[in-house]
Amino acid sequence: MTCFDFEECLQTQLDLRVQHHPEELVAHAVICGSCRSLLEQLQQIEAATMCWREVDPPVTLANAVITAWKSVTTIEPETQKTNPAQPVIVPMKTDLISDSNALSRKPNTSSWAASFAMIASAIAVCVMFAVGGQVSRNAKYAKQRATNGAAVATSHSPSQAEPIAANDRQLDVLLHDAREAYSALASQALQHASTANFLLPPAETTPPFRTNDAMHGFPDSLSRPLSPWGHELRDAFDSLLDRIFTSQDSST
Amino acid sequence: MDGSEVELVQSCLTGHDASQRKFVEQFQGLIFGICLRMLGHSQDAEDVAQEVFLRAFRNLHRWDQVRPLRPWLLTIAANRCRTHLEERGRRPIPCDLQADMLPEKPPSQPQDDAEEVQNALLTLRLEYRQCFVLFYQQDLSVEEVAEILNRPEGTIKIWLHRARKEIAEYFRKRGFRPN
Repeated sequence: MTCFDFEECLQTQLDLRVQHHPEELVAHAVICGSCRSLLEQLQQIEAATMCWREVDPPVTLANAVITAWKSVTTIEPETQKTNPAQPVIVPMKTDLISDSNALSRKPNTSSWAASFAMIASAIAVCVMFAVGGQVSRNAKYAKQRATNGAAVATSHSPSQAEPIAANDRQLDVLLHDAREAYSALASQALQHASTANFLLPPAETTPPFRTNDAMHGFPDSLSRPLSPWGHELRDAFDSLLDRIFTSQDSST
Repeated sequence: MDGSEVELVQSCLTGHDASQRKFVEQFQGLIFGICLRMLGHSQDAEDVAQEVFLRAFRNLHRWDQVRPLRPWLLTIAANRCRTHLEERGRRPIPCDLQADMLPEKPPSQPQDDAEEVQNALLTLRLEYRQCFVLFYQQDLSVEEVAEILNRPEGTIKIWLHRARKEIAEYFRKRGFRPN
């Protein structure tokens, strides 16, 4: 038997209030000092608890309980049926309890009403904010639709008076904004590409990626951000520039 | 089920003063005892015991008459003690340092040990204390303690084991030697 088994077995014996322990338990306690000490201490504790089983209550307890109960039933005969109140504690050292003291321990019903009113007003404010936000979103959508015309929500004709779902409206607005942003970015990029100097090198300048130096090192004309890139990437970028040149309008 | 308890409760429900007094006198030792062991303070125990009886009177109509009255009262008492301790917020003062410095004491008497057990109880966690008091002072079984505290039996056994071990450790540090 290990010490762990000893303790488990001993606790089980104590749970079952068994007075005589098994032989193997006693045998382990003989050879193990710590387990023997634990056994003796637990037996000592059990013997000590036998002494505090009998407790004499104070002689005034019964009178105090009856007095407090009478004061509760006379002060609040009706409210205790519907609204359980905190019990009134009668001081043990005194014989009488004042009505004002008893009343002071009653729950304050007005505080409940005030709390309920505050919660209701908070809910009402939240609902107002939610409705107002929805109205403002609808107004913004209507204004944007009036300015952009058919670009927004082309699936719905302006003459139709049927209400549009809020999610569809928001999605239309988002798509419209995305389209506008995309077209603006594309035109800006095209303008940059057509006016940048490095896209229009002088005629006498040799292409930077065609020279033999590019195979072994980086020429000075190569932009610094492209330097760490590999040779294949530079070729791909070069071919992309060629395609841009060929596809550009001659006027640009 | 004890028929006299049912009669007593029914008489109390009618508002009979003598029956209510008899009810209190019959169970005041039980209730005050557990309150005193749980709280470790006689004045607090008196206040909480009084509160327990008032709550019992209020809810006497809810008592299931097919079940014994004593565990029902003990449940109220245990809950009120726990609530009182939580409201009091008084954590037991660990006495490890003082206990380690104290010299070993001579073999003690069971009466002295009982006081030391009471002192050790105040250092335990509330759940351990409840288990220990209900098991040893009220002579309840593990099943009955589990029913009163509304916990599984395995949990009660673990709490009881830990309570015993912590009290034994308290005794060891205090230098109490068995007789």
